[in-house]
Amino acid sequence: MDKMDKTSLESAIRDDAERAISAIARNEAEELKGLDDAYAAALEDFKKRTQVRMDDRIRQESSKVENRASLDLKKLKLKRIEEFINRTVEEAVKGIRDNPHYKRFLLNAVTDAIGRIPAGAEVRLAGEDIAFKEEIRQALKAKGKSPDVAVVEDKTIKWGGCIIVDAAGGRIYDGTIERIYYRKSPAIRREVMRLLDEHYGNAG
Amino acid sequence: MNTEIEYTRLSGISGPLIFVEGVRGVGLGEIVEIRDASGAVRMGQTLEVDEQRAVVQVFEGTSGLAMQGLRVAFVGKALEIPVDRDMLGRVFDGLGRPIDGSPQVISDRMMNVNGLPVNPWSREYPRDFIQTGISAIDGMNTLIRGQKLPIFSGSGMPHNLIAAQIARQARILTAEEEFIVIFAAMGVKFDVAQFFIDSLQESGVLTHSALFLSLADAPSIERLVTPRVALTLAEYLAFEEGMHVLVILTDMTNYCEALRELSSSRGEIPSRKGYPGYLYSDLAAIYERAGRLKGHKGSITQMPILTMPSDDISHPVPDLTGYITEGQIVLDRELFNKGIYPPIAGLPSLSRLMKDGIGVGRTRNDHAQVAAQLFASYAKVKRIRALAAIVGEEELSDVDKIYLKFGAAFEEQFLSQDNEENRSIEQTLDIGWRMLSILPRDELYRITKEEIQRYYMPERGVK
Repeated sequence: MDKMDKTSLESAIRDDAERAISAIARNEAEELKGLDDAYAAALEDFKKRTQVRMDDRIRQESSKVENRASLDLKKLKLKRIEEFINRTVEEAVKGIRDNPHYKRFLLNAVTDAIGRIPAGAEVRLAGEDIAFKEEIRQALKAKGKSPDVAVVEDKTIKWGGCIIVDAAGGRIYDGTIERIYYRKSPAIRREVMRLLDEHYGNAG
Repeated sequence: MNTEIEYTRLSGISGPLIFVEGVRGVGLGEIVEIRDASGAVRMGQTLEVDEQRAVVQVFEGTSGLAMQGLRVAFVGKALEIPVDRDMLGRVFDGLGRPIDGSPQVISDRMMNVNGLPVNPWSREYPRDFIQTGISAIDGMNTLIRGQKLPIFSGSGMPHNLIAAQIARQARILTAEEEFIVIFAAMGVKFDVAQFFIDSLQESGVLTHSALFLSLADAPSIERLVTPRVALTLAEYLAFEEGMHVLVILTDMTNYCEALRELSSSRGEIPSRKGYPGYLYSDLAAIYERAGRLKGHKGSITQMPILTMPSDDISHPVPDLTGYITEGQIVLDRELFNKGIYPPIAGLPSLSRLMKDGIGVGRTRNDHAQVAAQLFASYAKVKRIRALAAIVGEEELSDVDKIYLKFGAAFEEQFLSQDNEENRSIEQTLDIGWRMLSILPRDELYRITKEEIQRYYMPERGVK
């Protein structure tokens, strides 16, 4: 009886111990699994966040590159058009004195300005136009003005036209091609742009 | 005829003004070109004209000009600039001339910088919420499309950071049209201008922006034209191209200083602090170039920045600005010293149009109530802090102590945010509720029971 009791007590203790051990092992396994899961979840979350940050950064960088490229393209186009306009104007200016209207333009500019000056006007011309001196005097005479005006060379006039100085009145009448081009250049640029658009679409 | 008259007889040069004699047929406000003996051209505008004499203000200043050899041509029209959507992405000087190394845009459209004559009847009331991503603005001082909402700042405070953050983050949630930023700098330092360029470039919004820079070393008179030039492009883009335009004008105090300089050169009778008596109407002529027009999709929203000398809000510039604009965002030196960014003062800041641009369909149903409760509770925090300074914190009631806790959390979590942090309106309101949940339910007397039931969460509020 004693022996049986001792055996059953031992087995009961063993069973209890085994149960406790297996419970501990189970808990441990669960805890480990929990930790593994949490670690995996944290890792996954970190990966996702890193990916989102990276995607954002890539998007931002590519948008920057795209923006810069589109801006540079826009500026390049403008520069090209500007260069084209400058070349065209240079060419046009080179042959301006061959234009049949040039002489009439010059004479009209001079006589019109001198018509507004009571006396003592000075006509300034580019070196190439000094040859028109006599014709200017004739034109003034024809308009009933005194042909006795000073006609001098002005080295600042490069393209053509004239400057008439009214020293007494404190006025200068600027009829140079440079000034006319300067004043009209926005309109000229627009017109060139329109023509380029018409011929090549979206300005080349 | 194409011949152009230039006047050579000057009777004086004084400050930014030149006096031209013997003029004929010249108009007031007409643009003037001044050529010096070397042929360099400066621009100006007629300020006074009589039968024989014109007074011209020279935008680039008169420094280095001599009366002998000057040639003055009157162009026959007011200042105009070409306007085109290709101006976006470009950098211009204070007079609208490109300074980014590329030629001026080619445009069919020239517009007078003095603005569109807008019939008051054709104006439409500003609505629609602009999300700036900054809780202190979106939550409590909401910016509305078409509004003029200035930032009142002080020397050394981060108004430029805030303006750049707004420029980067601003979005209209309820509109499809393009949203763009026009930035006009008057009398700011080079590093500030460069900061704005870099900030817009880094965030990829430079192609949706145009910058007009009249820097601190530019002649002060140029500053008088800069905001007008910027607003002219804004008007074109808003009312002819249908875009939503946010115009940031910084620093309007420098603009007013330039106006004072000009006024004093003209010998006008000075008004408060030496500013001219017409400072109000001059500022109004700028600030009123904002809003929406009937039959037009686009809008102009203005955010002028001004620095208050000695943080004095009663100084003529903030004082008169406050009369014209629809509220103000005030930066607070105390919050700034605490290291809070953005240091937007809770109580003196105000958006008068907020009520018309928030709520159902625009932001969220509870927005107005949350904002009102935050204002009221923060006002109480200020009173309790003042009391605590006298009697000591230990003597305060339990509820008052909770309010102090709310105040600290409100400043550190609601007002404070990172310079790169872009909060949605939902996030802002959720943070607001988290702050309000610190307070006992009975203290939320500006919010309906239904909203409290829905959003109040004391277990999340207490930390």
